Amino acid sequence: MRRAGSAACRWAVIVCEIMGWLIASPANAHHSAAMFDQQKALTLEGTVKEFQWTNPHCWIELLVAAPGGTRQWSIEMIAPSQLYRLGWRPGSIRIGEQLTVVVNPVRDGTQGGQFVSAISADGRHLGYGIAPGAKP
Amino acid sequence: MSRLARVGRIRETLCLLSLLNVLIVGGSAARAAQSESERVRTFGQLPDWTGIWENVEARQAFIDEFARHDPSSDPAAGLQALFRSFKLMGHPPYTPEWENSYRARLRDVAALAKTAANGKSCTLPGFPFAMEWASLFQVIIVPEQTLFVFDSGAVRHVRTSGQSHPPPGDLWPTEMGDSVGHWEGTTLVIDTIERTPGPIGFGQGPELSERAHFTEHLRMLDADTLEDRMTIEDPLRFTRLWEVSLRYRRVKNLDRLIATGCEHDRNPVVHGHLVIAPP
Repeated sequence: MRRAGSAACRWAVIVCEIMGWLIASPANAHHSAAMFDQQKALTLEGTVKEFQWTNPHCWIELLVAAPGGTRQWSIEMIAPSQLYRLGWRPGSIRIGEQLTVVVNPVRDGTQGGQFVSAISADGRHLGYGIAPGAKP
Repeated sequence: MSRLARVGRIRETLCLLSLLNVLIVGGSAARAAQSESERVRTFGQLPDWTGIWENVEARQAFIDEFARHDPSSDPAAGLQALFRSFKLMGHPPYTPEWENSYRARLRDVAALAKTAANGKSCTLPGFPFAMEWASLFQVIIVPEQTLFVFDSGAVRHVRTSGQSHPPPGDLWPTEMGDSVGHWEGTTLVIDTIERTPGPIGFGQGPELSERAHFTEHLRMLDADTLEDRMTIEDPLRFTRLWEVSLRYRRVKNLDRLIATGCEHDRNPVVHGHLVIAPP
């Protein structure tokens, strides 16, 4: 029974990971989401160093305070065409802006993650379901 | 003949030649004008498929299938549901030999796990999955051809000027295959051969041979819905025709087709794992 349960669990993980890739693919058309731990949500507070409006993904480079200095986090978003359709623009996030960002971190422990949502210092909500600046 | 008479004959001949020239040139111009007006008339009879199109049905089916399914209770069924969500990733009427191969592939947990962990693609899948994948595309129609222009930059050409496929020696397999078509009223009928053999989709879908032959009927169902009824014949893989119907909606919240691509790819696979590269 234990072995059967374990096999079922393994199948479930595989199916979910393929799902993740395919669900994500129409949006980012690029890679499996298995590299991110989607069971974990990490909140990062920092300063925007760069907002890359690029294919196949947009990226927020965030400088986060850490013992002994700052650490740079690379936060992966969906593709520009998809963000644009959701109301985002290349100027939606500005360099130097203070952001609180929720991410699903990468599993390998490096400073990276998948964007979930964000709130700017002036209270703007930034997410995939809402246009930047819109009230949630 | 006197000199005067010879000059008169020459003038008469030149006059006749000039008249003939006027008639010939005038005739060509008239024919060109007629041909142009005929082309304009033909153009005017073609349907309006302008705008941007998206296959929303596949995406919705995908979400619905998994919203209802509990993978922990029956994982194999979950995987089947995954393949059911995209019609072209479904279960075709395989010959017994290919049916066995299909079932074996579903049992290959290691291969599926590898795909799940490192699956990555920077290109639009070739035909026929290009027509189902939720990529955005435009349809450009002129009397001589119809073009499917995808946001990845890939283009599918369908020649509609009455040409048939090139002879075998002039043709070789390509990702999109070779497509010729004709209009039956406002329905575009497309015939496609010489698709590169192999699985549909990203290595996960049904296997097709070099003999796969596709017939499509595209037509508008209402003002904003386009349908592609596709029939696939593959004498080396299937026991009968495989029929698939795809539907597209005209996208309302986009003012232009925006290019996708991989020019700034920051997700290399290192030691078998996808990682994030530094900016």
